Amino acid sequence: MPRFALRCRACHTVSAAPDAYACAECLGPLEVSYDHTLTGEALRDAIRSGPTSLWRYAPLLPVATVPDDPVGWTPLVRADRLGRELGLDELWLKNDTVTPSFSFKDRVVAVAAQRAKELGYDTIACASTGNLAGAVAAAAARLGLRAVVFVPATTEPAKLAAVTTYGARLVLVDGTYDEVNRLVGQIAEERRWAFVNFTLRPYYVEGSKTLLFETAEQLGWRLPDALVIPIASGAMFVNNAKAAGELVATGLVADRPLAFFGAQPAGCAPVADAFASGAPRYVPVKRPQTIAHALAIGSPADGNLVLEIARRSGGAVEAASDDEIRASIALVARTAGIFVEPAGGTTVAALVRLAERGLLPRGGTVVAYLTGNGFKTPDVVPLDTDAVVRIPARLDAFEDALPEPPPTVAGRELAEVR
Amino acid sequence: MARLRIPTVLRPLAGGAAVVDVPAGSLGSLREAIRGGYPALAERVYGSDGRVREFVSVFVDGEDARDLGDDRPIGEGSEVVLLPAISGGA
Repeated sequence: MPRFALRCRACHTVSAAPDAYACAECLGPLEVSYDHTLTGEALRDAIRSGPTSLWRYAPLLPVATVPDDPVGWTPLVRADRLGRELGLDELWLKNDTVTPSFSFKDRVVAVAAQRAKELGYDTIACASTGNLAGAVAAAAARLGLRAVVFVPATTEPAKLAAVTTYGARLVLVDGTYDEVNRLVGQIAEERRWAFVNFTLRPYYVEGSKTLLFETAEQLGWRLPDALVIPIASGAMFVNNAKAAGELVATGLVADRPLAFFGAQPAGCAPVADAFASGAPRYVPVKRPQTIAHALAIGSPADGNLVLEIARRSGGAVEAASDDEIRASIALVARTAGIFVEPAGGTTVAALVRLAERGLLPRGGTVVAYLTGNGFKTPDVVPLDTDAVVRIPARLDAFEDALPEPPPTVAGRELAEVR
Repeated sequence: MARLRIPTVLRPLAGGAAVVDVPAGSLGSLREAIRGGYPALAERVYGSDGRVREFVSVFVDGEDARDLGDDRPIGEGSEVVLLPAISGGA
């Protein structure tokens, strides 16, 4: 009996085709279900003896073989100074800015690309807001596949230069992400390419689970009390809830309440708006307006399920303005030394708002996912000219510009200490 | 007359065709024309109340039919696209 199968999330029919993404009976979304033969201490041993990458969780992933493709196992950083500013006793940041193409998309693409190879595809493709394009192009280069990526023509240039440098074919589409998405949905019906976020979507989204697998192991095999997750399509949010269920079901962690919190930019916040109004379903946003391009999806595929999980788990979905996002990029850079792109800024901005509103457990373990690197979006945060001096190349000029302050001990002036 | 594009998963319900021409001048008459010509396909796309089912998307010249009324006109050469609703999203 195979270790995993594709099953319809709505009517639970098992798919006969290994590369279908919609149920042949009801067109519902397919997801991977597992027959876990390895559990508890035996599973923990298998994981411990695996590579220091997301492939250590291969028994919980939908692949037949483990590739030599080191992605994942990113740092979980204790952020005490940021925590103090927010009144949180135990705040951790999952730093996914340091993956091969500098965003969490390397996780989902690693799983989808490996599955694409196993199913005999020679080309991987995607519709992207930018980061996924880079991850697909990079994975294709690592694994010896061809790549074709589709993005809105307005995508940040820094993200696109990387795509063509990796050797991928880049298709710029005049339209919003949702329009690109619809076009690629049609193309995916016509070309035998592995469209990672369409035809291989059930496998692709499984890669998101590794964020929580790693977090739980890095916390000493326990679940946090609260997770703060950015929402674009909502797939990361939904699949981290799935990951929590699998961690408990396989006996890797003890069951405990875990509240799921989502973050969206105010300029594209269909899920946060529906959460705030109490509506069961979101209303699509036609024209997203935000600096957080990575989160500018007006019709999130998993948006309604996000609402359900946030409500059921005691979480919430919060929106933050572009100004708050910029301020939060600076806040997390200053207090934790991590430079994030606006999607990460959105997550931190939501964290700030949630902490201010007292919605996060003050004494609990709170984890926020930082999913993309700030060096990809350099134009968002301008140089702080107040922090800059320009001087001639002379010592006296330096002394004039930055006069030495009185000597201090632990922040107090020496005279005061004596 | 509209050109109707059918996704792979639904093509068996339209005799294997990827594209079929459907005589329709509005969204409402499109539904009736599909019901008349391809009843099994119509069953999968529309609920008994005539609304598009949850996991199906219908786009008329790029516009989501869920937001449009039955009287939305469909011109000569209009393209109607059926897609699984879950598709895509980064």
